[in-house]
Amino acid sequence: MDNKNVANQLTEYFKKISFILPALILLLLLTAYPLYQVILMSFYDYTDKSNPVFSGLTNYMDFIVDPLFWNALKNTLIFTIVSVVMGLVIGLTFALLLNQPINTKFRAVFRALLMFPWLTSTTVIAAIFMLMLNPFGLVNKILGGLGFMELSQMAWLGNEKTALMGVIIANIWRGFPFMMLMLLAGLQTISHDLYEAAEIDGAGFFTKLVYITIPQLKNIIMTLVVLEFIWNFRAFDLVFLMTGGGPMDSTEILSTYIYQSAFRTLDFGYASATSLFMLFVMLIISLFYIKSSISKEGE
Amino acid sequence: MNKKHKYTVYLSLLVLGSIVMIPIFWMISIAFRTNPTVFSNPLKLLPPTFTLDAFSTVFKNKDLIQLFVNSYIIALSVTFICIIAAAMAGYGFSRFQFKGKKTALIYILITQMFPMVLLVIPYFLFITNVGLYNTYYALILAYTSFALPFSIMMMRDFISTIPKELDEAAKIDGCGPLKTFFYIILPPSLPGLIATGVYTFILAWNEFLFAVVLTNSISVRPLTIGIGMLIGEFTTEWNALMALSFMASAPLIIVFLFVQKYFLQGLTAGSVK
Repeated sequence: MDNKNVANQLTEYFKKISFILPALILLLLLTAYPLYQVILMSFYDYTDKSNPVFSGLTNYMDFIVDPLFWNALKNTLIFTIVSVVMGLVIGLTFALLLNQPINTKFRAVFRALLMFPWLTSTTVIAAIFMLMLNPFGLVNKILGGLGFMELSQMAWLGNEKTALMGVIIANIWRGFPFMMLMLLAGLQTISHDLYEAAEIDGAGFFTKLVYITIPQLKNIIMTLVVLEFIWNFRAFDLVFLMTGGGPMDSTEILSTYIYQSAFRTLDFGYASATSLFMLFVMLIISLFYIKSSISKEGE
Repeated sequence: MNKKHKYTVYLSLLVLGSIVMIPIFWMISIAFRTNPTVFSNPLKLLPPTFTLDAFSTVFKNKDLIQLFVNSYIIALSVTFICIIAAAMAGYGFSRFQFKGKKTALIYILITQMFPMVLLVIPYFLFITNVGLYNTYYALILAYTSFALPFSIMMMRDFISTIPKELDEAAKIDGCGPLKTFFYIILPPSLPGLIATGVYTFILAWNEFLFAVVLTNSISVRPLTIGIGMLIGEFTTEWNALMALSFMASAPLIIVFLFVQKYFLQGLTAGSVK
């Protein structure tokens, strides 16, 4: 009797999880096993590639004292924070404009056009911005035309003072449409009564923005900030293609730094330890997002 | 809303929108000119001589055409796998209560946070060990693992908006979970499926890092690598590079324009509450 019961319960359980099994098995195979391997590798010394030796926490100690690591971390933070904040500001600006009672056709066309950067691959974006920021490129031609003769001679991506800024601009361009789209969807759920009430009280544009719009969008903004932080913190392609981390490591971010140590110096142990540090930072940042995603389960 | 306000909105949109569109405009303007006029002085906003030279350069290059084919094969396969797996998982997560559900969800969310460079090292070793280095499978597997987590969450959120009463009615009529899934859940999920498909296709079509590490020959490499290689060349044929970029972007933009209505519904179903 008992055995039968257990068997029945198992079949019941299996029925319930059968729909998520394919995805879960795929994910476990494709992420859990690699993660386990990375953790293992981070404790090994790969000086002799064919015969790695257990080295305890040496890899972790190594990157903590490496100034290049701290430089990459600093650049990653600048890259991420500026991209997220500017993307949010630009995205919100367009979302607010598109949410005004304008011609619906005009709105639809404009919204689609503004999504183009998000649909464009980072390789293509890298190519376009390298062309525009070329010393003889569009940006310098325009600057020259406006009379900034000195600035118009700049090699923006070849100068260690401006290269990071150039990459960040390309990245903001790539990232803002997604935020615009989500914020616009959020704006459309805000009740008009709130604004009408505020208008009766004589509230102007900025008062309404600060006291109604932004508080009403709080959840979306929080989700966007976390998601975008994660996506930008681990970005790779744009920097790798546009500058390769140079000149003089001025655009080196954690991803490109780890890539170099894994596939140039072939130090898998060091690269693994550093990438685990990256994962750790992202997990801390994303605790909020995980919590809010899971809490929907309570409904 | 008064007229003056309306004009301000239109004007701001047009001005700001034009600034944002400059890179796209420039890509197209360069793609249709000859290479010597790329950096023409003084600046020419439109091609001084309109020509399709750059496109014929691309079409003459058989390797580049092969890269297109590879990109389609890889991206479509990933999209196909992800839509099926994510729709099923989304249904499972939104409709069934079971032990370990929370853990599974948390795990899926965490996999979204994995840095690509963290995964690329063990993938490289794993793919080489099982003999899949430089095959379509290597990239299809890798991209599936990036796209699946967000796809599952999107499908879960979308299916959660479908009233549970429909399931119950189907159950009373004697439908099992599988029938319910196919006849009750899938049809109204179309926007969610489209959103998932578009998201996945874009992700797979645009990926670069894993393509560099897991493949090494033109016969399997995707288009992004082709563009990356052209960027890396010492003397760049900018007009050909822009023509190729234009050709690489066009399919995504066209597909997006057709399905954008559904895409918006699907993408924002769960996040806007």
